[in-house]
Amino acid sequence: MPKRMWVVVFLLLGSCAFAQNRSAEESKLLAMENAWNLAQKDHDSRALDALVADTFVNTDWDGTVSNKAQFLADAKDPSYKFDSVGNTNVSVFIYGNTAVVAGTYHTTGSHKGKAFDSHGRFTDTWVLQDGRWQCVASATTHIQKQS
Amino acid sequence: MKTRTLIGVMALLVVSLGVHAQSGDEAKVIALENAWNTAQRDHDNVALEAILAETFIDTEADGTVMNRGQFLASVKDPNIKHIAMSNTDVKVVMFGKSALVTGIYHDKGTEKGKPYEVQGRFTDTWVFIDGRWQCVATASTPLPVK
Repeated sequence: MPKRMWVVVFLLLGSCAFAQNRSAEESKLLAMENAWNLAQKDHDSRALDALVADTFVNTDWDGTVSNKAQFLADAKDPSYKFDSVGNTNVSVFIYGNTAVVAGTYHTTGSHKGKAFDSHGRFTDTWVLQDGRWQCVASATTHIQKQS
Repeated sequence: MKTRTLIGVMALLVVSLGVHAQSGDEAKVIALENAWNTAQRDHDNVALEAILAETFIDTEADGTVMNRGQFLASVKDPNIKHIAMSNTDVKVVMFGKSALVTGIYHDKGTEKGKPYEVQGRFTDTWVFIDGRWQCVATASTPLPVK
């Protein structure tokens, strides 16, 4: 095998080992954050219902506070059409049955036909309840578009 | 004492014991929130160090993100003088060894001699670590000053 190939193999092995170092719970939480984005994009309230706790409290970037029922009702709003919903720079901190996931979100789409392109930071608090992670709080803060 | 009165007294005792048992940690966390405001107002980093977890993450109302070291350094800034810092509409939800506190903060003071007044919503996550409640995350969202 040429030297260059060995380097590639080592790099791949290294990145696999690194990926495995991420705990199973961290991976679950990241998967749930991604599932949340997909559900929100698709107005899938049933999927969101399973992700957020009954005591869920959501603080939107404009200061609006909503409980679980209000949040799910908002998610159904057909006047919002999402083209993309994604997270970057995501950090996960786990403290036993509690976890904090913080990062940056970017959504594009339209509201009542008017295009929007929104960037912000999110801080989500998850608690392991009844054998599954449930989001108990989400807070977002608007930021200027990243260059 | 009549039977009905006795039942009433016992019911009150049971209710107050229950409330006391539930609110012990809630009261502690609220006291820590108030201590945080006092410490920040007084630039008291020693007090804040005891409140914030090593992995503390702060998302400010303008989107700035700070870790514990950066936050403590910002609190020391002598250019900012807080006249009043307080919270209203505070709600606590307990989840065993963790707690979620939400509410509205009010902060009034001067920065480099120029008066300012801000308010916003906060979402604080507290975890019981090493025998004491520590804040692991705070996130702020600005609100217009009324």
